[in-house]
Amino acid sequence: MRKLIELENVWGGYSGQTVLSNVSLPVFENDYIGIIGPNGGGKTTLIKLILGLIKPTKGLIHSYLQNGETIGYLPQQSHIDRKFPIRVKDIVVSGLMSHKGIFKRYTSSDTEQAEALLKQMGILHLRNKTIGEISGGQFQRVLICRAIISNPKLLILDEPNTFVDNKFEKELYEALGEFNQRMAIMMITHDVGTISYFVKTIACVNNHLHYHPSNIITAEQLASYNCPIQIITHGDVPHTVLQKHEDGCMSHVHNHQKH
Amino acid sequence: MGFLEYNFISNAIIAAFLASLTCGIIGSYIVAKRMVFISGGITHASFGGIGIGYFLGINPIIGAMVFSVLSAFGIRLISNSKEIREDSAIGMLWSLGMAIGIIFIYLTPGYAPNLMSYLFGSILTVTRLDLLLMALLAVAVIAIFVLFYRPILFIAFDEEYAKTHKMPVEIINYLLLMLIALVIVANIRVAGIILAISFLTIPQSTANLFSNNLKSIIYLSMAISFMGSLLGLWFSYMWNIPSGATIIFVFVIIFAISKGIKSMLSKHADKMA
Repeated sequence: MRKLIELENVWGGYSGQTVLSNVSLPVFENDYIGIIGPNGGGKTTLIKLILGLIKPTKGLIHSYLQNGETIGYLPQQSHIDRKFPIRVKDIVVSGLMSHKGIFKRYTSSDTEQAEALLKQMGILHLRNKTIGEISGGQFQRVLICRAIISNPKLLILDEPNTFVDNKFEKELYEALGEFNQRMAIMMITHDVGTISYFVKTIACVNNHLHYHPSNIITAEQLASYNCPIQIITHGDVPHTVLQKHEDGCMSHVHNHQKH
Repeated sequence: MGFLEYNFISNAIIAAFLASLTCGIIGSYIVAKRMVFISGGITHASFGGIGIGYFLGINPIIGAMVFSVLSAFGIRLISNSKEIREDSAIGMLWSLGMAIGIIFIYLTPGYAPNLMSYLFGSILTVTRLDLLLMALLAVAVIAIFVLFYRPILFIAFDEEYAKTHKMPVEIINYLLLMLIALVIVANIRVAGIILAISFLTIPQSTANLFSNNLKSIIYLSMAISFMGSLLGLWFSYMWNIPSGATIIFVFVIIFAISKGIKSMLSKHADKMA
């Protein structure tokens, strides 16, 4: 299996404050990693390190991505100015920035590609609207289109289920499962119960990183545990079992087989 | 008649046209990116360059261009370092620039320059050199926005996302800061330090009422500022009142009327719905 990114004994943080210590994590091409952990535990710092938005204070981040292979990113909406004068379809096209760089022209086929994605997400009719005119959930779909238009090798999502209703949330996870056929996914979420059903592995981030590789929680694994912390069921979603780490971080997640 | 026969009137119309082009583009960017306050700071700081220019015996506008570009970069560097907050840094450079200007003009021996024309503008006394500078700047700004419109738009919209795509975000930001500073100084001749910010904000905010697409805001605000400038020039000629201030009055009146039309339209749309 091909390795895309590898963090090797990485330390990171902001202005002298260490948020992540000694994190090592390989990301392979068809990984689907759910990232959980308490607020301030360093989940966002972890993905910003992988995205190159912040530099590690110690340690190495190896990228094995080749020229033209990209990382898709769905940020949290909160840092975006919703009054900015930009149209929906332009936002989606902006996901092609790394292919275009500064000098290459954008063409009508780029816009067509953006419109095809908007159609898939069921919001083609919003293509000429600006972001001030659409709802939070619709905007979230626009940002997802932007994240995947470059057909990235790795898709990083920071709380994709905020602002979306239950119906779209289900569609979203189905779509992510389909994307995972051709790209690795890392997803930060608070909805621990739901993701444990969809993801292949879990990374628990609380200053340190506890990684639970796929063989522990494959769907094939039939095991029954006590459910001391949290049981979430959505219809046929199986029980989720969470135990406590020594440092207080919820981590072990086990799936029952789908009935 | 007679209005167009004066040479200074036709120069003023050319100046208004060139200012509308550069301010239409740069002002729309400033308004979209919420950089009005930093632009106000750069405008006032440029007065330091005017003072130094007089003191050294070089063209004050050249002094102002160098000084305003440096202060724009200075504000950015200081706020990037996160030691001082951006609005505080702007406040400091704003008044420091004015203070430097006043001291150097005071120290310059001989005839005291006509400060009023720098503070409030004098579109009727623009020289051929001023027009040449404004034309060169207009060509540069238009070329950069035609060539790099998409990267500029995408970086302005979501800088962090652009960084994840390895875009040269800092270079583009500094390039645009430089253009903002240069456009501001070129407009000091037209509107003056105190009034220049109006060319960069009022037509753009008016355009923003009717469109939410940066490109249309640019075109619309160019048209509004050229029309407004012509009307303002005409009124100032008719009533013999200062041209810069009159133009700004016209801008605000156009804005108010547009706002009224817009709220009437949306009420009408509500009724229909």
